[in-house]
Amino acid sequence: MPSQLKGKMRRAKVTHLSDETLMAYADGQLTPVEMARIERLLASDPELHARLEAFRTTGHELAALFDDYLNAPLPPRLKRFTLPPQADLSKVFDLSPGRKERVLPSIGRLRLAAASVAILAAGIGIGSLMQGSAHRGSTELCKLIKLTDDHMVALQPLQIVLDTLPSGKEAAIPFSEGKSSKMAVQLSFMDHSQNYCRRYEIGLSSGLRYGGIACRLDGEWKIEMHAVLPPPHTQPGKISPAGNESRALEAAVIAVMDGDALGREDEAAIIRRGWRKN
Amino acid sequence: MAASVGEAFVTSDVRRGIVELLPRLRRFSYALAGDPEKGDDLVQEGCARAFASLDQWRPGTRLDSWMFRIIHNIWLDQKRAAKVRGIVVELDAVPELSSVDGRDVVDRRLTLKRVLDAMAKLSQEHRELIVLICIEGISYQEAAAILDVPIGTVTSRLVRARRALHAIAVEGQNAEGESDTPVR
Repeated sequence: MPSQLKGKMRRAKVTHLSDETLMAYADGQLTPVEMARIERLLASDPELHARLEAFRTTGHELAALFDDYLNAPLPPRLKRFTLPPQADLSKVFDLSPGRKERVLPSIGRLRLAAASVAILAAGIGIGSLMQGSAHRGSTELCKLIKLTDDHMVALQPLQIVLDTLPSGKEAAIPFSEGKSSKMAVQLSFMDHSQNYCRRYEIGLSSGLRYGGIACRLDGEWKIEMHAVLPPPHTQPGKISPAGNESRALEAAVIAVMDGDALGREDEAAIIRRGWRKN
Repeated sequence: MAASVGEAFVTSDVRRGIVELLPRLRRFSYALAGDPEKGDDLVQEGCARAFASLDQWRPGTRLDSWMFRIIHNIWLDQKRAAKVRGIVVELDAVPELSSVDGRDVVDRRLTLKRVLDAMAKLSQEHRELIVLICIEGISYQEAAAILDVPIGTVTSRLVRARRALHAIAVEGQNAEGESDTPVR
């Protein structure tokens, strides 16, 4: 008898199992009856164990090597697929200098040469103008946000909130007229320029609501985006649940966010060190 | 946290399902391409194609299999375009598994880098089976449907693919054999 054939017969005597069956056992793709049969064979055949080891190594053990990758944050280019198809970004107003020209002409009646307070009110109240509403909240709002030569910054009440309020909390800011505004911060994150940014929401005593994104730059909170939110269904001055506009604002947050939002502990540490990067 | 924010905006069930699959799609594509950036390229293109043809997904079928098939086809197109060919050696060069000492395997256990390096040396047919079945946990039957080959071909190829991967990643073999001759 040829020696090669003898070898095959010896192997067949020992194992009685094809590699396909052994592999299917390692992958748990056999019936319970078949699984039990192979377990009995494994108990009495060391060679079978050695053959099985290769399939185990390239099965569950292999998959486990990639587990960390499952928890990795999505890069921005994939994060965009999480946006809703109907997200209406036209209701989110980017007031950064480069985009102001595209935003302001769209509202027609506004003129860049107007007094700063008027521009501020108009800029903040774009949504209201388009809906034909009056600027009932502009007086309070002008105490929260200021337009400088080329950008908008948070004034002290809003600045303090952005500096100190943890995400998920709400604060009441009193004004001299005996009125108060509600302010809340939804989340903190880093933008693609690695500046700290915060998504905020303001509820004025008049009932007007605004949401925006402020980013920490050169020691101040620069207002990157600001949108008028729908009227609250709750009492004036109370932050209400998000509507379509705030969902669109969230879409913008996702677009500018680099990585994940800051965790609670990280945010607390950054608040303690005054939003310095290190 | 960012993921939960994004999730709140997904409106259709299919879109939501694809978004929930993104981590797995990234793992699948990373393992297929052997590089995280190229993997994300595949996911990006795959999602763009899927979102443009959501009506082609049939309710009742597995969404993950549908996405894997789309991404796999993109990967094949890219490979064809680049005319990339794997390194091959004769099947005889792959040692018999029965000669491997179990204790030795433990001493030379797998690392992610070693696996990725080894997978880069596998043929296209072997690599896609390793990724689908060993990493993604897809059943043999589903893999056969995704790759449009008989299930017998899947199992016989997978045996050879895993023997080759083990030989390269664990035993230090330089390359795999490419023959589809039945092993036993």
